[in-house]
Amino acid sequence: MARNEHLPVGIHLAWVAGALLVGVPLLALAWVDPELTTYGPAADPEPILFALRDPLLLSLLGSSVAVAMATTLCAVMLGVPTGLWFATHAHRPGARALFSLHLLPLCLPPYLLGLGSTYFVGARGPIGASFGPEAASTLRQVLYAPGGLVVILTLALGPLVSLATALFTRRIAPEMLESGMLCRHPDAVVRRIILPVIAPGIAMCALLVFVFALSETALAQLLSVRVYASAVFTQLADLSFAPGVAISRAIPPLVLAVFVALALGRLDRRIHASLGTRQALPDGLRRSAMCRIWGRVSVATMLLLAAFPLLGLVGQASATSNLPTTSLTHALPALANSLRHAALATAFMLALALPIAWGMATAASTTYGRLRSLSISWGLLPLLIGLLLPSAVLGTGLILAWNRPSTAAIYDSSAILVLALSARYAYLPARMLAIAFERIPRNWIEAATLAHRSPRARFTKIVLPTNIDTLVGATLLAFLLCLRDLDTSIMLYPPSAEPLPIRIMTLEANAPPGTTATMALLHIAVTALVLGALAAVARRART
Amino acid sequence: MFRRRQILTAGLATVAASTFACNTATPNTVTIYTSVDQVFAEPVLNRFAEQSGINVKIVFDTEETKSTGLLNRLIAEAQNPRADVFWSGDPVRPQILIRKGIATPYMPATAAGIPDAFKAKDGSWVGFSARARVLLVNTDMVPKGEWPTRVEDLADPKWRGKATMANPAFGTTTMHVAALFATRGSDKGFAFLQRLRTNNVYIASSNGEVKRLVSNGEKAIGLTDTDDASVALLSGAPVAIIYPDKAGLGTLLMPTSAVLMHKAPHPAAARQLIDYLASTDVEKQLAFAPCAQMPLRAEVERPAHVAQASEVSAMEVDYARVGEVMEQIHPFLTAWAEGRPDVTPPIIAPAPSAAQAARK
Repeated sequence: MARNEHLPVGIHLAWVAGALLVGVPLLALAWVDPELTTYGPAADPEPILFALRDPLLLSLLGSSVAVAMATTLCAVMLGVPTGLWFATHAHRPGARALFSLHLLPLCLPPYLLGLGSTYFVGARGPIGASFGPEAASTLRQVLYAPGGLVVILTLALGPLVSLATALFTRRIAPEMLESGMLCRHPDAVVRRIILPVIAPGIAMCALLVFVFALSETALAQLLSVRVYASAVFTQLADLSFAPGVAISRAIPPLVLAVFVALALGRLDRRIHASLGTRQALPDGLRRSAMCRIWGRVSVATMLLLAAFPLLGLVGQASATSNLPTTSLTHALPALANSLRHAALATAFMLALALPIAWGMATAASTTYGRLRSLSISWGLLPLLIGLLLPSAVLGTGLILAWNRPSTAAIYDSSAILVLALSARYAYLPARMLAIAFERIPRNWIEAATLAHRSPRARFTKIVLPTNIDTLVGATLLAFLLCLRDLDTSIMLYPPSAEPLPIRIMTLEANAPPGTTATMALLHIAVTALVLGALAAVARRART
Repeated sequence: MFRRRQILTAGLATVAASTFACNTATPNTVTIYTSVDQVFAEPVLNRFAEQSGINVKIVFDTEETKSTGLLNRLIAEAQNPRADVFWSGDPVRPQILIRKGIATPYMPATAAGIPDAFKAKDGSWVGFSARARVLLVNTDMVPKGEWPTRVEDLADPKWRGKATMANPAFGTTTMHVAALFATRGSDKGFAFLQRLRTNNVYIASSNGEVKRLVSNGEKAIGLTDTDDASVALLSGAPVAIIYPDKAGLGTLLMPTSAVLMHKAPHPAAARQLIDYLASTDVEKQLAFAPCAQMPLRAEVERPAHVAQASEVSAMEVDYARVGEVMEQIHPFLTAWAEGRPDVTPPIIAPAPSAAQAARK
């Protein structure tokens, strides 16, 4: 195979992007002016050594990892049967709408789901009104505890697993399933064909659920659950401005990023070759217990879990009069900010992700081919670090790096928020596109090369049209992640340009609960509209 | 193809314009960071904007990171500040910023009439419109004759497991603990904190959570601020507010305070805003707001249920010294709040009493 002229641009681009977005802020933190710090120069090895052997911190890290693992387990146990049910019942009237509805919690800040849940179990919420204050008090004790954090995070992240399950299941070659069903019960087909084929993809999603659960801060603070990410935050909070200690506490997540990258690289290789284009599944599969019984139970559970915070918000919003005008006055400018920042950040992330993904996919087999299956994960490692880094560390580093007279055009505008959101989330669309582009048949590209088509033509006429699904999915994912972001934006938003989740969070202190509940419902409604609109665009693009 | 290129160029230009639309370019602008709750601060700042014609850009703090995420941002931006004014919910953090060289001393022109106890002797800061640290008690759970009367009662075994306070590493609770250390010394202050731990006092994430826990009946008593307590009362919760230590140490008053940031981008507008914030008009607005903050000036009109600061048996504190003590003990408080065993505070001598000081 001839050496490709894009070698190894993709990996270099990824590392440059990672250095710019993540590396520069970390360096700025390490060399902050000692006059500003509590504990002396930031680049001081003493705090690093202390943090790595501090039993209290290590114990907190352990409990945070346990919460994240419990969330991942619950998300997989609920998400896989749910995804199978949707994959095998896609023909049913209303199934598509139900599928979109069950994805809604994934698109919302976990903080809002937690807020709604606190209203639901509040003394004057639906539980208190229906079952009395003692029942509400008991449920509140469950909610304001690690168990409650696991439940809310499962609600927020479980749809990621069900989405992946449904998508991967529908890409299994139907001939394989039909052959299996000729001689085996549908239960055996599910157990022995479907689950093993989609397992690497589910494992990949599970890792992402774990990563998101481990880095969640705002929800943990709302529920008064101590998590590792908060312990990092306290070292950059109030009078304790100690970037050196904060970086030292950020080292375990960085180490974790390396292991996650390794695991993802191995999973990439195992995504089954039998996964092709989307197909309708054999009808007989619906007879399997997994799809019929467990699927129904899981779908009902996920929808019920999603209903609780929604009912809490609706209850609070409807309990107060004269709300719509007050809430809209607060909410509409912030909503406009949310949509604008999300759109700009998504555009920037795609502008980064497309050349990175294409450059990686066309790495030659001669030098990089042996490592090709790992090259995506290792190439995107700096961006993965951005996803795992505690938001306080990333945010403070971005302030120190970009708040200079020479970069005022960036720091004093929405551009800083675009950089922050890209540093946090660019990994995901880049990875999705890199994996998709890597699967383009080589001979197509070689044929176009032989026909003297320019690189731009090969990209726009072959790569993009054959991966329109993935492109739309990556855009949707990036946009919704930015729209729901809170932990990253809160450190850096331009004055009076706060996005809606932050406005809800700042107003939550002593504003009438009805006001914040109404604003939360507005956010949910707009997110649902955006989700529906983008899904319609995606469907039209496919046809 | 030409049309596609035109559309693409127009799109890129729109994106660039939207991204780099500068928020602080106009001269008739002032940027304020404030840890006063948004629901109370925003109407005050909007009124200033209407009256002065100056565009006000605001960054608020959040319930869970009260005075933390915001202060972090101010310190991180110190080399090239974006904020012109910091309006703090307590008087000591602004002093700390002045000592660090991040804020500049400024005495507003409207500060006349504010008692000397709420002004720095060197003219570096002035307080206005105060809150107090109060005990909130659930009246359904605790009959009137058994209400606590002192902050020390949180450590009384009869309230074991039934009391709550906010995390002393954050917000006004930090200031309260620092005030206790400054007046009573580190030995007594530390002993009090250890008794709180022994008594299973629940450490809430914020004063707002203290309010919720007591209002919902999950805790019988809590230590919080008057604005949170007042909102709980207005919402119809079965609670009562107690100004603690009337016969003893006194209730800690916390005036709000506004400072000019060092190298503020818009210093003239900033001074105008600080003058406005320290005015009698703002004290009146905040007295009539749900936060029910106490005016420091006797002539300011207020509702009947809002006390005037001189009517409260106030703790005698030197706010400057409280600020120094707060800086010294903050690392200890962070470690204590994290649950670290065997942490001890730095040695701080108790303040001489007012009588002793007068004799000297």
